[in-house]
Amino acid sequence: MSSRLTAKRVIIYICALLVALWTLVPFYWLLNLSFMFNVEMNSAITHFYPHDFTWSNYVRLFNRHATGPGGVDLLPIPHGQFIRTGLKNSLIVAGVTTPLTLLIAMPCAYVLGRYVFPFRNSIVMAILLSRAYPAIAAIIPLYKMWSSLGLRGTHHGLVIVYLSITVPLVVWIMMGFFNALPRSLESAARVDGCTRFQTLYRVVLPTSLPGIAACAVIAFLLVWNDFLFAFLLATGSSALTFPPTLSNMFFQYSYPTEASAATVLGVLPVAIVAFVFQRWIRKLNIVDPL
Amino acid sequence: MAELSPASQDQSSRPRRFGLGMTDARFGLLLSLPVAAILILLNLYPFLYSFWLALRDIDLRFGIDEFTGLDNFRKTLESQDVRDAMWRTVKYSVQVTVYSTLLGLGMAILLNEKFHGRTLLTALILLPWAVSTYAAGIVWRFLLSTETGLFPAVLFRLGITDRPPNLMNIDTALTWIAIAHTWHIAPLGVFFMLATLQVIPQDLYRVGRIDKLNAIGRFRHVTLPYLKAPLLIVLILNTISAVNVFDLIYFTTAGGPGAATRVMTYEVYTTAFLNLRLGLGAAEAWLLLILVILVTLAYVRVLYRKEKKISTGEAAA
Amino acid sequence: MQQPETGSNNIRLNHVAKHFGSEVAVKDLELEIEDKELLVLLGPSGCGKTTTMNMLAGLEEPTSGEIWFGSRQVTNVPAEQRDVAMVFQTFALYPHLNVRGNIGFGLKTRGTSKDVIAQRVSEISHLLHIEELLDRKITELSGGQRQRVSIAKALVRKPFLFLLDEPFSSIDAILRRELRTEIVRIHREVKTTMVFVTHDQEEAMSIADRVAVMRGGELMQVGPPLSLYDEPANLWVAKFIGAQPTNVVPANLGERGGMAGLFDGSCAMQVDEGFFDRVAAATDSRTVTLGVRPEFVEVSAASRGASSLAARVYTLQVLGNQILYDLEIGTNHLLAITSSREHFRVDQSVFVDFDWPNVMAFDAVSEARLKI
Repeated sequence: MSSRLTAKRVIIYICALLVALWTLVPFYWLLNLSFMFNVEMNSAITHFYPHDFTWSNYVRLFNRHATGPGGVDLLPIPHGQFIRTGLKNSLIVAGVTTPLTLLIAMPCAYVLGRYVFPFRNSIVMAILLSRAYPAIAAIIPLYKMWSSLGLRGTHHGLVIVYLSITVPLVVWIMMGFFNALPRSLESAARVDGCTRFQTLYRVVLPTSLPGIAACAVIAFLLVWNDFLFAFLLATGSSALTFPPTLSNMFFQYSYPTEASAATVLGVLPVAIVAFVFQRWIRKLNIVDPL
Repeated sequence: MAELSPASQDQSSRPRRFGLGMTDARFGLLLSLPVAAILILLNLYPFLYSFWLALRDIDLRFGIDEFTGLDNFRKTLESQDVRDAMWRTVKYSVQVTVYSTLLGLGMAILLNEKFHGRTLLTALILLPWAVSTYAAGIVWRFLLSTETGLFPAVLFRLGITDRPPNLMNIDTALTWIAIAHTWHIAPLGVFFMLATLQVIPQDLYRVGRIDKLNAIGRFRHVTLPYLKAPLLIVLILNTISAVNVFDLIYFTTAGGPGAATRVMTYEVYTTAFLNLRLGLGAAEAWLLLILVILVTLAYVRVLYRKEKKISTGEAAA
Repeated sequence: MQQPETGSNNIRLNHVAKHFGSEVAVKDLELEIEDKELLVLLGPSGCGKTTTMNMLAGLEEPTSGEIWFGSRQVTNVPAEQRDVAMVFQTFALYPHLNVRGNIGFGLKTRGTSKDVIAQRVSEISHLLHIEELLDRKITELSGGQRQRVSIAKALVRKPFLFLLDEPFSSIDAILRRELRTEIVRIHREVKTTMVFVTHDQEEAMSIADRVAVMRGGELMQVGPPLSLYDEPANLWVAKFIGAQPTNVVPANLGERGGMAGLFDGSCAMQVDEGFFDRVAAATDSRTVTLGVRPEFVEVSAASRGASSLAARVYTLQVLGNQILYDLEIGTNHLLAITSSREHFRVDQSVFVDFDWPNVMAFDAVSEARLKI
């Protein structure tokens, strides 16, 4: 019996190790490349760790010189300024979209989760279908509409497009969340003299703060991580967000080491945020982050 | 949560006629108005507009824009490129769905066991999902490419190949991208199924032991019945994610080598945004849409069935 | 609809009904709640008591009928505009506020000034002995403390009507007894009309001024606890009220002074003549259903003659200073409670007598109690 138990423990730990490797090795490899000089990467078979560890790829993205192997002067990465603008634009667009999303989505999610009213089921169905609408299919009409409305290549044009993605998702998630809240709390609020509106903003929303915060993180990640919409609706403009800027650098102007460092810059903040908030996000019991 | 309607509709199902002229119906409508507006203006209208575009021959390079009826649809259905692309999408989606669902199930079962570092590992496996699809594409390109890749380097160092091999060749590229996709979306299924595994009453496993079920029997008769609903939903979510893949392809192979990874989304992208033929692209997008809608309808059916189960369960209690 | 005379603060439910779709939750309810009384709505789950309470609170709108608070018609007035307060089974305290914030919440939403709120909160927390909890978080409180806070939160507004929805059912047994006593004391102090919903007849009997018994959406009987015990309206109430279920004995009383057939004639005993006369005065039928509370079944080792039934001890339970016997008579069973220290063994042969002045009789068909 005990030897069978031990065997089971061993298998569990081996599996856990494999899962950890599967999850982390790709990240490790990205970091590995980003800490290498281009010379080292090019020299021979790729090294499994940087033999000549350097921050130069990061430093050079911020318009600084660096010293290469053998005292060679390395120029700043020319595309670095676009990367920096891209990061700033991403921050602006995601930073504006997130609070707007919460403002628009929360009241609707609440009534969808709690009340029965005309068109309720139509709205739920529309939200569900909008989640399945392939982005590439959605962009074709939006491209034409945004061109004629002069919204292409603007911050607000992107914000509006992103709202059409984040709002249905957040409504969908919070609908279930509100539905699962104990009903007696709202009854108590009504008996305590709150109208429906007051019940929502004085009792329901304050007690749902963890869920709302998790939704804020999800909405922010969704915008921050989007490539396609920005790529097709803002390419060539000063409003271009980080992902398509990175893609330009990736395909046109860079060595893998430099592109790795730029990718880490885009990925690291969200990875940290996701790691910190994962407990809350998991509690939401998300059905549908397509 | 998956319910499509409040758990106890009866509690507030009748509109109220009192108090400031406000009724449940009006309150509900008022608060969902902004979302309804977004859905109509930014989802429904473009949806219909794309159909209108599909009826026109639009070529932005030459400034052509004229009504051609169903001509674009005819061209789409007759095109060998589109047929190939659709077939690739199906192949790709099946692979992604199978890999990511099985891997998700395996990881969920593992994380439901007690071991040191479980909490940390549970948090860690979320990371590939939190990383954007385009970043996943870059990461995997670096892993697989002959010049920078870890996998080719390992194969070479182990002496399996005499030089770092080209893994992204015509035969294998689609599968490698499907594996990258699996890395990215499997965590989603894990959280889904883990949540369900954690609510299975432990007593059922004890009863299973008393009834002399072995580990496989306990999985079949105790675990699987509980997992059925989330498993189905995960299957469909993974399928939709796979059908809609774009970033991953764009960053790993850009449709190549040759046309080996030109899936339907890439075909639409090429037609509409590289060849700038928006009308034809819209028509092709509709074909893709039909595929997605079919999968989504299956999704809705599963959810509704689940909801029915929940509500009857409550009635019984 | 009749309107109550002005000036009275009684609460009236006039032919109130509530349907949920095709399901009838409350059926044509007629009930008057007297000013400042503690009325308990008692019934098994699904009897409509909670729906009735929700309609009194304004959380649920009646399908038909009227609700009057004194001379004010409140049938369609929502909760926030009625002067009611409510204590919930799940406490329903706001987790984002501390104890003080929770107690004052209802006053704040009604625009009471800060000074008044502070004073009222301190008064009520004194009354409920929770002064030292005021600055705690809700999550730091035990179940009993939470319910005290919940009661304080309801009482602080000095409501016209105070509703308690199974307030003690998620609290452990010892604390529950303590809180029952507390509720009676508080009711004496605050002099407010209270409606208390419970499924626990013992709880109802121990705190109520009057009890309204409901079953399947219908009101069975309203009255003070003792009258429900002594004069239940029907067999169902007789069985529902009382610590141990009333023995139901179908009987054919036969001739005066003769033998009566019990349990469809499977055994016979001589009926007390006084009892026979009283039943005969109330009904022409000789076939009735006897209701004998276990405390009025006497058990002895020796027969007293024809009035005794031979029985066998099937099981016994020791309830503190009393013993509950399950007695087997042929294929039928009777419960008996004795307070004597004399102890019969399982399987022992014993003799059973009824304490006839306390035996109830019910119409065999309608199950209504005969006034004997």
